[in-house]
Amino acid sequence: MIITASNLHKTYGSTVAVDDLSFQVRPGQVTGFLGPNGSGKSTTMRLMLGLDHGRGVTLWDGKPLPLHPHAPKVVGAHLDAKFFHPSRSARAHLRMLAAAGRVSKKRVNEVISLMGLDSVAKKKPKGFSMGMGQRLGLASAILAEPQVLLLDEPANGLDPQSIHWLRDYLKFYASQGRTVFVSSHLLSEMEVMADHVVVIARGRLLADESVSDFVERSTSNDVLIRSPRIDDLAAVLRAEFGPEAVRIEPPDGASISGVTTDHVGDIAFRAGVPIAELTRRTASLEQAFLEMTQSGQEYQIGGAS
Amino acid sequence: MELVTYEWRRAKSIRTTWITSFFVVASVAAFAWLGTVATTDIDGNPIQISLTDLIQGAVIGNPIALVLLASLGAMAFGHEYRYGTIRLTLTAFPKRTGVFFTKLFMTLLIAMLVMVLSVVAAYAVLVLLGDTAGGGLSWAGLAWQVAVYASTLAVLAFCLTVITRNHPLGIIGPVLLSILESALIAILGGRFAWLPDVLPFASLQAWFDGEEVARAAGVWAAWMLGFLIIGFVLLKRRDA
Repeated sequence: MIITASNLHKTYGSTVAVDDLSFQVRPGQVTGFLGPNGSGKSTTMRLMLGLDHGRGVTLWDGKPLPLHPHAPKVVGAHLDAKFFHPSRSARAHLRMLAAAGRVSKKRVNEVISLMGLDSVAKKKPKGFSMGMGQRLGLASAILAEPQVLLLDEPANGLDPQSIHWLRDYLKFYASQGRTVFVSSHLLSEMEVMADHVVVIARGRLLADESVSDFVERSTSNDVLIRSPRIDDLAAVLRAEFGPEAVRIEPPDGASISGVTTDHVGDIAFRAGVPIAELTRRTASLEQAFLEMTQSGQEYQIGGAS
Repeated sequence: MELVTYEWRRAKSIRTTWITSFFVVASVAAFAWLGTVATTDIDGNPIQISLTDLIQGAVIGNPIALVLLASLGAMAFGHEYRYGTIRLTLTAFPKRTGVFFTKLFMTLLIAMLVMVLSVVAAYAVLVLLGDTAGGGLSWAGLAWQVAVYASTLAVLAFCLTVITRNHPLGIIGPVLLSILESALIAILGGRFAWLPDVLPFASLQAWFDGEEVARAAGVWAAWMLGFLIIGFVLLKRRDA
């Protein structure tokens, strides 16, 4: 199922939370939704689901959500780890949601086991840890086996094993031709989980592309070369690429941005300088994200931007 | 149908629903018994109150039942807003009109079931005590008065919770409205004689007393409809 969000716009008083945001989320892949705190990710998700009112429209396979005869089969959403009644047991909570999704009792038990909630299924969730709350929220989202999973920070509070499980599960879910749209602050996780990213800051779209394309655009991508005659080689490289492009990395290395290893190797060969290492260094998703969102961050440590 | 099942499971899976319902029934039975204690009038002459009048008094003149019935009415949206589950509900059922009216239906259904049980409990207590005097209100009259009274409290609490998105205010709202109305009539009733004719609880009482039935019922219905319309519009227009 393709989700098409068009011109989503939401204001709170004079503050623009989401600013004319348009993007598509495609099936068969995990799409990460990234943005600094206060950038409008959660608001966007609520707008997509029709929970918040604003301008713009979100189409789910070409139709607004209310026009689908059976919404729980279209989208399963997990927006907060605390959205449950504190004295309704986990099983009763899922049984209630099962009614909405025409889900059998057997499937409820299946999801309880899948999420590792067997031991607490009959307990009231008021004493649940953040991680348990997340599991219950995820169980709610996947209960009706919807075409789309829309998850807001689902990894918050999960232990490393659970995060690993979540990553594998979401990749598996997407591999079945379904759509997974997930926001997270854990960029290292997102790097291995997501195939595509939608990046926003101050409610505006910064990027909507594959993770590899997004990372490729980072200025942190460079080529590292090490040589016993690094000063000689650096002089040749500066002459070729300009003084700003080459940075010495002691004791015997230099990094050059915006070039290929082939090109650098060729120059070293022509200059007759021996090389000990020639490596392309790729920026992490985190580096690329930080670079891109630096100017667009709403709340920065050490004072508002 | 899914929405009705969902609402039923939502209501029955919370212990508060059962506890509140139990105390409504218990308080009505207790007030029916208290009614039998009043066996003499102010001059010491023995009085005989009919069975149906005792039950009517045990429901309508019962402040505990008033608050608890309002509490049942406030639960439909109160818990949802308080714990954020309204977002789960509206994601599963994006058409808010259906959500509003199904919740209203379920609220009224629960209120009616609780009233039936309360009347049966009060009747059982009175029969056990041998207090079975006839006369007074007919059984049909008792049934519609109890139904209208319970619906009034449930609908008011239901709507006030949607309007304020505040569960405690939804519970206490009908009580406050009733007190406010009494105060207004006491303070301004002498100056504006028409005031009781346009207020909801006074109109309800006039309707029960058989005074200008059409007008009184119309005013009561207009107030209920007004609250329902405001609640419905706000649910449709506001962010969840």
